[in-house]
Amino acid sequence: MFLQLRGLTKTFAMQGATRVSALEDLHLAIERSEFVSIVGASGCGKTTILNVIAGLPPYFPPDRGEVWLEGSAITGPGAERGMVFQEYALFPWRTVEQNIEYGLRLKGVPPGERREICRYYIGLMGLTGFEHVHPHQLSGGMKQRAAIARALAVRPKVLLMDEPFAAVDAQTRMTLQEHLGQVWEEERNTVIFVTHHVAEAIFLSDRVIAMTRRPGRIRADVPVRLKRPRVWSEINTNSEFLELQETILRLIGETR
Amino acid sequence: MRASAWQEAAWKIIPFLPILALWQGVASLGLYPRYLLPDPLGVLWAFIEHGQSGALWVHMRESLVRLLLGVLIGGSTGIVLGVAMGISRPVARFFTPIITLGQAIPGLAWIPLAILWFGLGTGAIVFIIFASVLFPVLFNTISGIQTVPQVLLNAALTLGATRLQVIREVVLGALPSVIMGLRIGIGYGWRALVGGEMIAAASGLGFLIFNARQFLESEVVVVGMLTIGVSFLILDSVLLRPFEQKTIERWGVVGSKTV
Repeated sequence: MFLQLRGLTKTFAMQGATRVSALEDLHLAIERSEFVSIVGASGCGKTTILNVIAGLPPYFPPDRGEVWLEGSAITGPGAERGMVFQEYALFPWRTVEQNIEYGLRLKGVPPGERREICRYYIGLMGLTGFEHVHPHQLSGGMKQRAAIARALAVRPKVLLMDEPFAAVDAQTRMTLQEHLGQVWEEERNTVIFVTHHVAEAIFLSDRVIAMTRRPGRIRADVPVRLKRPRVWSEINTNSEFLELQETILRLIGETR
Repeated sequence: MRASAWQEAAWKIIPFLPILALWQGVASLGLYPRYLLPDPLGVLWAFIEHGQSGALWVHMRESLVRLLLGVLIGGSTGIVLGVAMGISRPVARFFTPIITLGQAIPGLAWIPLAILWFGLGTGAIVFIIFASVLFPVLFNTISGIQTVPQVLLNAALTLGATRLQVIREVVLGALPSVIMGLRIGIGYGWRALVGGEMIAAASGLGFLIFNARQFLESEVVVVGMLTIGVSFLILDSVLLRPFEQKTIERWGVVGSKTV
């Protein structure tokens, strides 16, 4: 198996002596080139899962359990597990191009090759013409495009996406979802996508993992077999999509 | 557009005109001797005289060199110590009480020891400036580092950065604060410089005005005061402020509101 979460358990200290359990004995296996979404109400530990996989403190190490990637347990953060954050997390002091180049530079990729890779991902993410602009001059949607390009440029084995479209308006969000779908079909990265937006999860994924409320456990693992490429104008009225949405919403307890 | 730019500039001078007129008027009455109240024309004359002889510029250069040295030493010490304290809890715990006391002692209070250690002259003055610049730079560096968003460091880590490379990003992120600290520090340093030169030096603008008093050359005192004020205004508005503004804008401290 490509990526395995083996019995992850994690609690966090709240005020005083109370501890909140974020994850409890969580097992999950993900195959290479799979696009998997994790959905659940806030506080279900979905962000904790991503941060544990990324190896970021204070989430990593977990209290118990391990993350295995291609046959070895992870021991901390690393470039083979790229991450896209809800807050974009672009370096404000670098231009779009310099942001995208950053990971390649750390890897020691020579300048010529770096520029080529950079140009490819700038084109892929629709950022042509914005190479030399600083992040504060970009809209939220464009910032997230740049952040995705930056994460893809180092060719991570796994791309972790933490509610990447939560901060953009509805229209931009749909455009970005469709664009990410196309990009994924070209790049075929293994993606773990965290969201509380069920429709978004189904639209993008091969599999949707529905989580229970605290402590986070897997409630259901739902395969999505809608054919690709997917566009909202068709998916919106697709009965299979609507049924899936209904089922998952009920599973995570968000239907009213 | 042009007209309003001229107006802008004119209004920086206009408020001084009534003051000048009043000053010249009172001085012309001859109620006070010139050494108590020099008149504006006399000051202008003294300025031309000292400017032409070059004496004024020699003192000014002396002062600026001291300021530069003090800012270089104090600023770099402040940045290095600030970064160390900003990223390491044990280092912060050790130094915080020391610098809390240190910043409560005005730079000028170091004059007696500075004279004993370095003798009268540039060494003592530079030390006083150092003691004045150090703390604002230090405190602003620490607070700048503490306000770099954690998510940026996480981004660097997930792109393959080592601990040292993450620290580099932290320092870059703190740069607007560091520059603000330097700007404040240079202001403190300038005040300490003028005060220090009155007591511990035989050259510089502070010495110039203090020395002129002994010869009752009040025009020269006023020339020196204006030179001190104007040269700092130029230093601040031509060099420091635009630099600070540029980093603040680029770092998105202002721009980020336009999401």
